[in-house]
Amino acid sequence: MQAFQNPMTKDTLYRTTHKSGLDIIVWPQPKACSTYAVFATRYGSVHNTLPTADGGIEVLPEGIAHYLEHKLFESEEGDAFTRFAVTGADANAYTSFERTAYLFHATENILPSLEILLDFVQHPYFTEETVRKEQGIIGQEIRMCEDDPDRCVLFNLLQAMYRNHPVRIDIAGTVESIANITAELLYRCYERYYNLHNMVLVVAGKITPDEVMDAADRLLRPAPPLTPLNFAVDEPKEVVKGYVEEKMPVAAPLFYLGFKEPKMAHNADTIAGSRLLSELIAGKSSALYAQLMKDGLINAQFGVEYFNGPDFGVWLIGGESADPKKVEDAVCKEIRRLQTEGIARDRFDSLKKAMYGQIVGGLDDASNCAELVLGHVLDGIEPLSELQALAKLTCEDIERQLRERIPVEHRTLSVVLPQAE
Amino acid sequence: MQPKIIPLKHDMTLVHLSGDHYRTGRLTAVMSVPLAESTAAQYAILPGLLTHSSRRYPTLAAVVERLDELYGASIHTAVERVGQWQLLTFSTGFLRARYTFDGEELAQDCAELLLDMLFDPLFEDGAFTKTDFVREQRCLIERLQSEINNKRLYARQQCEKLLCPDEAYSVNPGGTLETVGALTPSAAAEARETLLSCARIHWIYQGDELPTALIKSIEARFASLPSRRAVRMAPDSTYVMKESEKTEEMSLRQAKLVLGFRVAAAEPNGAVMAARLMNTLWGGCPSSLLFRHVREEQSLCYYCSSSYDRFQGVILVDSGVEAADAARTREEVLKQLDAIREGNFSDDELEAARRALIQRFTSMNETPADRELWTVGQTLYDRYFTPEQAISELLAVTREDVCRVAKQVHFDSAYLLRPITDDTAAKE
Repeated sequence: MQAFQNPMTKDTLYRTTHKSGLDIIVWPQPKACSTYAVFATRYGSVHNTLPTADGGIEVLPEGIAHYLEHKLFESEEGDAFTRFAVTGADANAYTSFERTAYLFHATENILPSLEILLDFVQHPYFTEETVRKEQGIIGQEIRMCEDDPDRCVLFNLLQAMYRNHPVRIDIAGTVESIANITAELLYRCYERYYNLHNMVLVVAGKITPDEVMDAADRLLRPAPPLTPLNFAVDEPKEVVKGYVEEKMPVAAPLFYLGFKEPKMAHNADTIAGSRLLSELIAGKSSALYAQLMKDGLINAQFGVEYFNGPDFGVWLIGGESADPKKVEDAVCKEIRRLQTEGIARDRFDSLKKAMYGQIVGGLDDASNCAELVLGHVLDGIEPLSELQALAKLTCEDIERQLRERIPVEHRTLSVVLPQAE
Repeated sequence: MQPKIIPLKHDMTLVHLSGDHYRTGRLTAVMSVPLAESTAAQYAILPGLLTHSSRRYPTLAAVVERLDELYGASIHTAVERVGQWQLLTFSTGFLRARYTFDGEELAQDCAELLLDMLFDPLFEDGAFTKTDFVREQRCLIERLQSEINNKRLYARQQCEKLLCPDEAYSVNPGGTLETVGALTPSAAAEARETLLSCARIHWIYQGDELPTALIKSIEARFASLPSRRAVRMAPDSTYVMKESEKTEEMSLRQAKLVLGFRVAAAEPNGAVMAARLMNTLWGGCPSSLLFRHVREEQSLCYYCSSSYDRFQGVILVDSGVEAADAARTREEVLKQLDAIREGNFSDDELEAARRALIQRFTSMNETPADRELWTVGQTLYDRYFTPEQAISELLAVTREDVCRVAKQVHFDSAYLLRPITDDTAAKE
């Protein structure tokens, strides 16, 4: 494996493309108390189509990537949780817009746990009966999400922002859409998206590169070559609607204000810039945060984040407010001011230092280490290169990103209002 | 590694957790006071009031700018219920010197910032400033109001009220809308004085070496309090079964069922480890009986889990289900409890639960924040043990111990939050 030294975290990471096609990254931390391994595929809720033999496109039922995640834990002999119960590892999985990830966190029996992970993800086993049975469980997960106002305010926002991009689809799908999922369809999705050339394994903690490679050599089956998946959506730069609302049993209005990032190619500079820009605009040391707090328009729930995936990027500002429209006005005014007047250099320097400290400070946790690296790889940048990019970013770079990446006019305000008594 | 316990002046204790491989260090003040309806609000407002400004850093922006200078160091506060205590924690987390650009030691600077917040707040006329007070009072009220947004949490709180209606345990550690609304800037200032003078205070330090300079700083600040003496309280472990049932309706898609149990095993002297293992076997891990039978076999729900509060001897089982399936789910939950009482579980199931618990214990060494979490509850009884010692105790728990403690689990109350039915809607 090729070794990469990171001077800022003082760590050495190892990376290789395994002969099976899998991209493997190992971050050994001999003094860590545990190991976290994540085996992920570039297949999330936005990958909602399959190519057909005649060159066409088959549209998949909403929620199928998440459904597949649930079903992959099963095998003819039993489920993977039962196997992990023998090693004591804490196993789980998640599906997001752009990935499905299977993981475990373990303090002992690490190699047997890694073997289970590599094995069960490569061995799908679906029958019509087991697929049908899962509908009850996932149906209840969907119902639970439907009662979650934080989730509703987010997905209402995305549906109002995006006309065509599948980021507008709920990751779990609907009770109706998952009823159309069959074992045969799951197998076809698996074949397409779980090709090892489309996947990444990251292991961080008390493990060596040799141990990981030994398990990989024994357990990974060479995958047929895969034409890189070309993901592109014809999506206008404008949002569909500027305002959307729903009523739910909540105490006070919840809101998300989203700005639709123009299509762009991401690199380590933009990834480091996203973190910095979020904090700069509406972080707790910002003038905006102080003013909104003083005016009684926000409370401790207020937050800002940026998230992106294949062919989309969204700046999210949200929380709880008696008057979300006033918050929207204030946020837009502040972004325009920063875009026009620029950023104070001392504030920029101090924020850079803080961002560095927060990233490095999070690395005591093996799961944070592995998930950070996985995020970097899926974003198409070298693991931990965000840190070097952050160190090199200038005030002018950030001012340019601020102007180019946050179009104030392309925004949506999503609100969940309290129901009348 | 065994924590080092250092008695401090002014009736305080410092717990030193060493470990040189962490990238961060942490200093935390754990302040414990008896949880009571009459005082919960006055203490709950203090973390926000004290850490969002100080005389030296008079605004939140100034505080955060200072933290940014310290490599994004954090100030974190929490107000929690632990058994019958209200715990206020004030923490600062910081990078270790070897990860700063110039080898700067940040521990002392961060500690001074935290001590400034506690001992040199921004006052006007002997009370918190009106601006700060109004902001924090509003934020606390809004936080209490928004508890209803999380239906699972809300349902659990309602079940706890059924279980322990007259006990401190059912007091909301954040106070109530009425008690928070009745606070004043001067009442909050008095509460701060009382807290620092009367709370049991434990400092948890995680850094490279024993912090002698820091100990001196802490002791010097507390020397300004005229007569500090920490409160003592023996928790009341008696209870009367309530056997209450309550159903509420709300505009929802899914019903939330919460079953409340009392168990005669609680800190400091009960069969706590056996109860922890029993709870994990019942519904505390993915190989548990509830996960397997209620979720996987019967597809009744997405989650059905049990949680044991070892400080109060309470177990809650909660599940999100179709309202029509609530009775069946309840029946299945009780059936699985009976199975444990009667020993109708395999050795494999028991050992899987034990391993899950071992994994949970050992992972408490993962980060300074995890180690703090592990230690905070131990300060209540000044009984300190490492995850390794807990594992030794767990390994000694037998199948018979698990059955025995399961027989001491008594089903008490049930709460159901269900979607509004057509009948109800028609009446309205």
